[in-house]
Amino acid sequence: MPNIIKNIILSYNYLVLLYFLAICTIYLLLNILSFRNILRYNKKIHFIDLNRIFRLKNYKPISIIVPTYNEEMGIVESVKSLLQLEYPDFQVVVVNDGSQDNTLDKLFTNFGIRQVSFTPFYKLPSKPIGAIYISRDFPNLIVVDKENGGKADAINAGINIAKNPLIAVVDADSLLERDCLLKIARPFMEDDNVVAVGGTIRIANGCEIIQGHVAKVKLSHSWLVRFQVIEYLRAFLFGRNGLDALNSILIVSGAFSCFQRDALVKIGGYKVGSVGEDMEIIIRMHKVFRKENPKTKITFIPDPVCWTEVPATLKSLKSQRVRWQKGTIDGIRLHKDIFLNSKYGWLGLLGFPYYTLFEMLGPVVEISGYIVFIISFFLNLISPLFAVAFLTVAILYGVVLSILSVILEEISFKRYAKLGDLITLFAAAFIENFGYRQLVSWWRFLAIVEYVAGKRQWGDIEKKGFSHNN
Amino acid sequence: MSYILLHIIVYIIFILLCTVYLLILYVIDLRLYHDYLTRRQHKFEDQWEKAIFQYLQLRGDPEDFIKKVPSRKYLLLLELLRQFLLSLTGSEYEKIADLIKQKRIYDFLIKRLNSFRTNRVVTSAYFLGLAKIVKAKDLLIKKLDTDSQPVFISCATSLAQIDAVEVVEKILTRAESFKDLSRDSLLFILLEYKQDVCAPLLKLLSSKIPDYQKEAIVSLFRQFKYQESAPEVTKTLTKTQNIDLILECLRFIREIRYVEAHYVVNPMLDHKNPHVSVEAIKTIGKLGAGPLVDKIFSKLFDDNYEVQLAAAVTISQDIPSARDKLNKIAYNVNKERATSIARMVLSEIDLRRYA
Amino acid sequence: MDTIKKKILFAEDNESLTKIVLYMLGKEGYEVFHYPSGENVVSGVKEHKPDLILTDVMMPVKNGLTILKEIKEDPDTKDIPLIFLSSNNNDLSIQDGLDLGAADYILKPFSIEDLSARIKKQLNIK
Repeated sequence: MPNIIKNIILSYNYLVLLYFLAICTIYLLLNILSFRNILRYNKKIHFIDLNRIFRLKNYKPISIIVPTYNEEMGIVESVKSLLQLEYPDFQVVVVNDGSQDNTLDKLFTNFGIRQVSFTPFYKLPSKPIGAIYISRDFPNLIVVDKENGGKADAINAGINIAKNPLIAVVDADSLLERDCLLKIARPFMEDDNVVAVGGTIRIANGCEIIQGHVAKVKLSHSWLVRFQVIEYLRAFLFGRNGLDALNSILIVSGAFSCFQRDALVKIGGYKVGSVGEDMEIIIRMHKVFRKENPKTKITFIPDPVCWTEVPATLKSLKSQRVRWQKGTIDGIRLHKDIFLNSKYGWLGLLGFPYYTLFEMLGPVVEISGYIVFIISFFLNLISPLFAVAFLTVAILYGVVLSILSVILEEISFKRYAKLGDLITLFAAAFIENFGYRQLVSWWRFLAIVEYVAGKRQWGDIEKKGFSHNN
Repeated sequence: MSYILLHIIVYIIFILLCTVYLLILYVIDLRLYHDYLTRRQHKFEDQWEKAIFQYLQLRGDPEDFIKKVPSRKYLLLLELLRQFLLSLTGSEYEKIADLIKQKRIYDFLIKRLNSFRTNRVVTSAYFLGLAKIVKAKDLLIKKLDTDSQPVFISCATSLAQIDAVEVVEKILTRAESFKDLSRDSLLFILLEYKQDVCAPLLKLLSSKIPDYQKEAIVSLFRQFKYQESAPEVTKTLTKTQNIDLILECLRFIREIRYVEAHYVVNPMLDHKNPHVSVEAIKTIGKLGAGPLVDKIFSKLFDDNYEVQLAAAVTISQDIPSARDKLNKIAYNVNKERATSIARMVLSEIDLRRYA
Repeated sequence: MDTIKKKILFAEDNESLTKIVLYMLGKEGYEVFHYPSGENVVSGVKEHKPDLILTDVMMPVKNGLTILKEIKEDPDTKDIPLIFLSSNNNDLSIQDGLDLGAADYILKPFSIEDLSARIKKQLNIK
């Protein structure tokens, strides 16, 4: 074998090692930042009784927008539980995005909705609206019936008809905590520069659920779900928390997020036809608003406020991850001028490059790393001992990070009541390294390949609708 | 070379393994300790709850009661009493507070109040305030000079619960030295006072204090519907440029319907900040629109949606004479936003009537 | 008081408050059905046919106002007096409750004497 190829392979190994060291450092940094953030946040919440102050405060009314597509099974329960939320003044706007099932009929029979004659207040792009209804029993429930146009389109239609200055966007199957609106509205009231706030999402699989509320938090029996629980804890408790400290959040979860209506209207609403509209809109907000007001803030609240069912089968998990990966690429590609642009502060210098190098390109490095590693191993370029040692370090470091996020959860929110659940979570943090992680990386790698090859749309099932956990 | 590298890696593995081990132990320890505390509390409650009910019913002697509780269980007792103090008022509240006033418990709390540990000081101040123990007032006042924000907030809150009106000025002055003490935190403290705190605060409103404090004070006046402050609040409104303070003053004037403020509020209809216009419209609606009906009606066609909405809602609720005109706008066939807003507001009223 | 025990349905999620109220109601000789959340209150009312309903406004699953609405819609239950417990003197929800036909409301924290007097008042009227 020519020496030059050997050298290339060897240096690629070193490159991967370097990449690995960089990601370790960044994670450590994020961890420190998020520990500081959480401790400070806890102190704040501890002292102030939200409800008491709220009565006197200039709370901003909220419109909750619920885009729905073929949700006849769960829609009534969802709406009922939304109407029970604790907040002084809010309305629920259900947008029926051209469902082919009985979603609209269900709303008719259960809430006594009747047609009203008012028209949209804003002109964000969306497919034509057929009719607008108000419930007789709940004057704060509005239903918008429109032609099918996808999730972004449906949300835009909802914004056009929403009455209140804050807009919360909620998936129809999200399970919300009773005080979630009080919590998510708070950053807006403390700081006028806040344009968007994300909520922390937790996994509802395995939990006891009564009429649209999580009654008891339990860990699922499926390992596939448990791995995702660890992933979510990591992503929210230290990933987003750390990025928040740098005001570099690039995505707020579509399952529960809140915006200033004026900000949404100003940037023209959600981008219809985008793969990952949740991420795209946040990047665009950073871009537009930070230019005119460098103090603009996009933040998130670490409290677990929203619970959602995650895919419990490999097939649906794959389609979800492929979609996410394509969304990330799309968002980054559309706004690549932020990369290393100091105009955007830490976002340009650290947050955006982080997403580009590690979130977007991570799978490429990882998968090619594995391949080259195996090749070098068989070509006797690296010693087996070295290979095993290196892999052990990689895995252990990942485990430390996962455990740190469990600790964060334990000192702040303590939602898993049983000690057994905690121990299972630790076990999951170990086991996920043998198969699960590689599988997810592989799917994301495939997504990149597909994206480059030009298949930018949603997975087949999602082409029109968006009921996301099919 | 590669031997050294391997050596280093093995070291790292060893360190990481230890970290994992220690971290897991730490979490489990945390959890076990927490579980132990909860179990202990439950056990104590099962044991003593009945005794407390009996004490309440038979109007028992507080000293006798406390004597029966071993001193190492005082914290558990306090936690149990806390639930009662939070849920009850009247004579039962007094009976429970009597228990905390007993010398043994009181001394226990004071000792903790003078501790170096923030946590202890905070919980101790909390109980002294919750049970309104006037005897501890001077000690709490001394604690206001602390550098720690949590200690300050808890002691100030307790003083407010004791209704120590004479220290409210000191609380405000001391609050200034904490950089990130927000309007909310201050309001949280002041809300614990009774209505008699309004008079001294009224004097402070005209003095040189930061705007966020004025804002908190005006909110508090609104909460207590403190009529006497109306002229001073109106004066504050004329003098300030601070938007938040302006909004707060307008809300106060609206809430107590202080008609004399009309001349100050009227020009604010055209304020360049839409939030101010919105509050001004709502306020004028409540004070009586009089000659301003047309002006408010014209706000239905403002550029700002919030202003338009406020005008429509105000007309529908407070200005019957303009309702016909609002109806007419609603029947327009054009697609102006004003039409849509008018229709929405009217359909909501319609539904209320229907429901 | 009547020789037959009067029945009270009591819905409240706060544990310690529940204990206190249960103790007090028991002492005064009422038969009490307690519900820790709003979930089954309405069906409980139909089942037990209480003489009085005492319910918290803010509760998991179903809040007091919704419960009130549903009880007033059913001809079988609409005449049962309902007192609600409210922790925040949020004028809006109190007014809404009274508009919907609640007999009375009590602000938390309250005194046991006050609660007892209001309950007696509602039961004597009947």
